[in-house]
Amino acid sequence: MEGTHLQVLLPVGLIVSAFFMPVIFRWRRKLSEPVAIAASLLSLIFSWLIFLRVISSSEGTIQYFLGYSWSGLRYLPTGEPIGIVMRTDLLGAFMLIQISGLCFLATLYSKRYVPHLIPEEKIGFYYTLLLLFTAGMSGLSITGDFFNFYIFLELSGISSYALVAISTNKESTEAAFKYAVIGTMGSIFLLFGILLLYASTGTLNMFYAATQIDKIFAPDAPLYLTHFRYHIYAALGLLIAGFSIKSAFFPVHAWLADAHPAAPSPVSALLSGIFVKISGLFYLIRFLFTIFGAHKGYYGFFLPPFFIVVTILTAIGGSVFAIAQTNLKRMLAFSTIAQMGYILAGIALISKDGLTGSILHIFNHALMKGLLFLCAGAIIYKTGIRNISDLRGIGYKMPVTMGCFTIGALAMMGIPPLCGFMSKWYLLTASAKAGYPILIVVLLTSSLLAAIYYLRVVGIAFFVPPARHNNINKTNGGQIQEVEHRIEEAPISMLIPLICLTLAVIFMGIFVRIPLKVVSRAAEILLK
Amino acid sequence: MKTILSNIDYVVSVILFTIGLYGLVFKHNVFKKLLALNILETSVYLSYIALGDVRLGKITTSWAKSPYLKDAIAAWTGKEIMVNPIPTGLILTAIVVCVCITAFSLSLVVKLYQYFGTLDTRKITALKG
Amino acid sequence: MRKILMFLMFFIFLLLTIVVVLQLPPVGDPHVPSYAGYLPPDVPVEEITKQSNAVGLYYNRGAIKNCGSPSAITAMILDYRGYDTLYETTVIFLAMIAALSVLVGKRKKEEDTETWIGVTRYTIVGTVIKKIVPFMVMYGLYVIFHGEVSPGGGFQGGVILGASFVLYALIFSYEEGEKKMPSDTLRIVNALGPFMYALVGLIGIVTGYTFLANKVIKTIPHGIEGTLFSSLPLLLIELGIGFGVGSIITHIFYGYVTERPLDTQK
Repeated sequence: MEGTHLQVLLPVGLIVSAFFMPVIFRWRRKLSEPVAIAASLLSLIFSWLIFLRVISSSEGTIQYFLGYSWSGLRYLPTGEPIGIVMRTDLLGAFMLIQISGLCFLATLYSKRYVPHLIPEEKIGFYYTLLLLFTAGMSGLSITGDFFNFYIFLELSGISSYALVAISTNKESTEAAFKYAVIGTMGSIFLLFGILLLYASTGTLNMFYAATQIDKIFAPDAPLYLTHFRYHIYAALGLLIAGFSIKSAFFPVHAWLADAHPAAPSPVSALLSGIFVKISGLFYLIRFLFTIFGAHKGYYGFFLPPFFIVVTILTAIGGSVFAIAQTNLKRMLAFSTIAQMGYILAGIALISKDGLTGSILHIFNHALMKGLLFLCAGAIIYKTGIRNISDLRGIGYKMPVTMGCFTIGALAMMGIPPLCGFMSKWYLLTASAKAGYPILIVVLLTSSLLAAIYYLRVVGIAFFVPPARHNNINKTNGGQIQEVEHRIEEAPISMLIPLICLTLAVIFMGIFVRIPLKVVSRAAEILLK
Repeated sequence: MKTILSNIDYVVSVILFTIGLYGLVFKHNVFKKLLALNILETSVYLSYIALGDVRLGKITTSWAKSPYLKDAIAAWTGKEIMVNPIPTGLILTAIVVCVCITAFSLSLVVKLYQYFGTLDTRKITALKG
Repeated sequence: MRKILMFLMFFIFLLLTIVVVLQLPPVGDPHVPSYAGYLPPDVPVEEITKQSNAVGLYYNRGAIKNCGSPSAITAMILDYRGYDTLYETTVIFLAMIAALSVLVGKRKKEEDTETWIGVTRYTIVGTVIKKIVPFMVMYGLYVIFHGEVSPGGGFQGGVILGASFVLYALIFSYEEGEKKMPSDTLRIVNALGPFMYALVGLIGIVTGYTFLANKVIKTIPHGIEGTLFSSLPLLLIELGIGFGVGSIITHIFYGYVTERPLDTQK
């Protein structure tokens, strides 16, 4: 179906507002936050319009052609498009609304949070980087071309490295350096994989490459075409290596534990909530199913066991490390690693139920983890506490924040009326149907371990009375004060995103049919 | 042996890739890691450009229409085949991305030296766990 | 022991990758899928350009009449795949923002630069540089304007332009460079350069075609193909990229120079 101009205007509008943000910051300081919030709001509206258009199309994808300037010729006689095609399918549009929604909430949240963390002269650069990050991520979900994918990946990736480094203290600089080096290494593996894919299919369009790969693996292919099967296997190996680095699976997860806690809290919410999944797992799904055709049986039975081993290591390893942490944000980062293992479990099963569970879990985890990181940020903003053991009695001082944190934690553990339960249920039934009982054991164990470390935080916050030496602030450390039960809640512009996300978590749990319709249709389209 | 000689561009690119990967993992100086990252990226560019090469091909300007350039090379090779321009365009973009990462990493190295006083990654341990 | 194991893993990785890469067709063979599509390998070389339907050959054939530029690479990166080049410009802008966001800080003008300027201006280096910089600027503009007909273009010319300002600020002091090219002007040019690219693209949408439809906009005058003024949209894009990249490079240099050491911050 025909595409809209909005598919192009969405990233372009965001980058134009990012170009002018340093100028606005220099000339009219007060206008910079409203401009950033307006740009995010506009991108949210555009992304909903694109999503509605994709849903209303008959085959579930919309296409926008670029570069056919003179003759109006969009396709060559073989069916290959000239120029770049922005082909958004239902999965991409679904990711797009998550990206725009979470980025808008994070920009709103940053208005009060950022001036307390970053010196005054860098705030313009912070908003520029945030807008460029949003543009890169939105473009990633819209595009349908290999090199466009690479350039958007690098755009959002480099913005995320700079956003981690922007609060310049010792930990942030070291974490950003490690993150930049390892992330770039992952991108180079991806580039090498795209090279081998281009060498064997001869096209840079994702969907035409899928038809070429079908020709290579067809049973009656001539000899010179079957020779290219080795290149496809090598490309698949390199691409899986690159995506494993980007989504922090077990052996290469070290960067996530350092980078996500060291970033400012709205940025941590964006990184854990969407970046690590869009750049890693969403594109793994798209490459494996749409382009390489793993469900068509071309790769024998090698892929599911490999992925299941990685899933077991990631899900158990992430939870075990999370229990041992004392820093709140570091614990949440290890929990992200464990959830990546969950999503990989659904991909490993290569079935409709497994994919439905994975995509639904991507969506639910974005909401839950975004909520948890924003709550942690509110606690840091108001009291400066970063360690879990210092959180005693904070439930009485900041009831709304800790209430939202509790709901997020219960959802992460998989308690029924909240959203986390439904996606885990799908994953468990898919692994039962596919005949891998070990996955059921692993997923349930990981949920149990998650219950341990989340309930510990909730328990310390609500059920342990605050110590005599209260007020662990930077200004007066350790004065003996009278224990007061004053409510010192976070400011309103920081509470609004929290309440929105909490309502979304509860709503998506009770009315789970609404995302489920979209997600199961997306999984069907992928497996065609 | 003949295959290695005819694919020599790819073989050299893979050797450079391994050298870059080795330097990234095993060297402890921060500058050496950045240099190894650059070598890693450059090896992939070499491979791409070798993909787009066509033997007996001219470079991609259509000489006949342009008054600024002579037709000498076309007469010299004797064939009218032009090289595939797609990989060259991709590499222009990828080189810019590499420059961006290097610029950003160098500014981080300046800050790392100011905070820690050393460039050895074994001694930069502000994060624990 | 651990080191030996990792060396072994690297060696095995090297051997495996060499084996993989040796399976590729020889370098320069025109029967690759990217050049010849999936034609059988016994088609002779002269027939490939007639029979093949690969996109690269289409760019080559259509460069001069569809895009107005005799160079197929410029036609490809600014017209057929022009959307990627817009984000490439954004990535250069991002390089500046990322480097500056880590290094920001204004140095106080406390050291005495009078004698330094005096010493540099009359030595060999100072005299030669003062004569060379105008020629560098001219060469940068030459490369930008000739981007359509010969190798070059906005990025390369912009880097040369930026390098000339950096050279001036490097040899004489930063304050002299700041007087000639103030950083507020640089901020505005940083924004306007890539913005011109996006604006040319938006004109394509406004007139009813697609984003970055260069040749089909009948109302914009087209020059004579093969000369410097081949196509107005391409020229505007090259100028925008060139000046944008030049000011970005200079601004990155200013960022590195004016950074305050740690003990004088806060």
